[in-house]
Amino acid sequence: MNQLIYAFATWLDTHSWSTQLHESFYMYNWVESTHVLALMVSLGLLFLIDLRMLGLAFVDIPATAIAHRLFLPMLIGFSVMIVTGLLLFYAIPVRTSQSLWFRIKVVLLIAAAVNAWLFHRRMQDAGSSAAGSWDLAVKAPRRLQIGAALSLIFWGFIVICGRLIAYDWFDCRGEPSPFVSTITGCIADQTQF
Amino acid sequence: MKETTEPQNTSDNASKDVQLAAVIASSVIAVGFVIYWTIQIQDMLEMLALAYG
Amino acid sequence: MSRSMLPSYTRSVAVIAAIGLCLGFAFSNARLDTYSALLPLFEWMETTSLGVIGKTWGAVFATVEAVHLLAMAVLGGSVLVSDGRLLCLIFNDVPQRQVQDACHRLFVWSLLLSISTGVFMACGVAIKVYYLNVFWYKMLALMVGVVFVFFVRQPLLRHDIDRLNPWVLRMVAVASLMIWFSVAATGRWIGFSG
Repeated sequence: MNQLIYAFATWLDTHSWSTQLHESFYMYNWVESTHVLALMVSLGLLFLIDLRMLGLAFVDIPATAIAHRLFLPMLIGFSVMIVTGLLLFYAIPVRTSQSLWFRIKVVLLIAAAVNAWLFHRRMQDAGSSAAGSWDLAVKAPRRLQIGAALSLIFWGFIVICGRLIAYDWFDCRGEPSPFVSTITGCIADQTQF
Repeated sequence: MKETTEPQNTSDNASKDVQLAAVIASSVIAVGFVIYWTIQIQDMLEMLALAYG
Repeated sequence: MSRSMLPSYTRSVAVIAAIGLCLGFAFSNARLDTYSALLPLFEWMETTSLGVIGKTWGAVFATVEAVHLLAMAVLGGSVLVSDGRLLCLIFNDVPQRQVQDACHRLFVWSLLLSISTGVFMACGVAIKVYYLNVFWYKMLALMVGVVFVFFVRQPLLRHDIDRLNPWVLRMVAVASLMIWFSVAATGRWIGFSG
């Protein structure tokens, strides 16, 4: 698996566009800034939904109104964030794919996506079964509250891991311990970093 | 009659004042925003022209 | 006439006076004098325990940076919803008062969190940011944003919003989006500079 990821990353690294993006001070910084500003839109709106479900914000406004109205702008923010995130990976593929923080971030992203899907399903179930009786309640039903809390936790750690990718504490170049080397996918005698 | 219109006038005046203050402040922010970002983009274009011709 | 007019336009006169003072400060020697006078403060900031922690433990610095980012995300969300409602783009069927009050509470909490984490981060790299123009642009934008919110926007929104001129509300919303976008964008650029 690690060999496959490394082969894919080195193949991406051979693209001239990847090198150009990495070497371009302005372009790389513009992409990264857009990634972070899109995060402010998407996560900002997602957190508003989560805080409403937990009864910590917008308690006067129906919970489903918050969730439904903010869904589209949040999705637009997420789309920009995903595109710019992929470009950032494309710019530095080998090092990023072998970053411990990036790998944790990907696992957390999958967990957050599964949680979002479950949250969406639970919301539909809660809406149809209780006929929206909880809509004006301060807190959403317990299952939705758990989903909202998990969403806040997952995304909090995703942002922390994203920030830590910039640090080289566990990079393969630094010859980490065998355990770290295995989970970060360092390859014996690898030539590209 | 006078007692009912005076608070109404005071409220209208306060509303006009706060709206005028908002228009002035918003206009200055908008002008400052345009100037700052125009300068930043021009600087970047000059740097790119220096680097790549 | 003049006696009755001045008190009724106190806020507008104060705003014009503040803008005049800022322009006077920017185009006089006072700006350079203040800049020089602030250097000891920034040197001291690096020697405080916050500065030492920020410089010594990269992981702590990075985590606080991430919390700063999360606080800014909540701030961004509340600004977008609040200004979106003023621009009649979102929650048109929910009363303005409910949306604005809820957004402002969230805005205040996220602002406090982002300022406190920002102070920690600034302590860790105080001398570096002191010499960065973009850091001062961010501080200027932040100060303008805070003054704008608490002395112009909130007093305006405390009035009966439905009776206010919709174009004034739109202007305030656009200015608010501009200023908070500038705070976020210049903040991101600090990381790339120096």
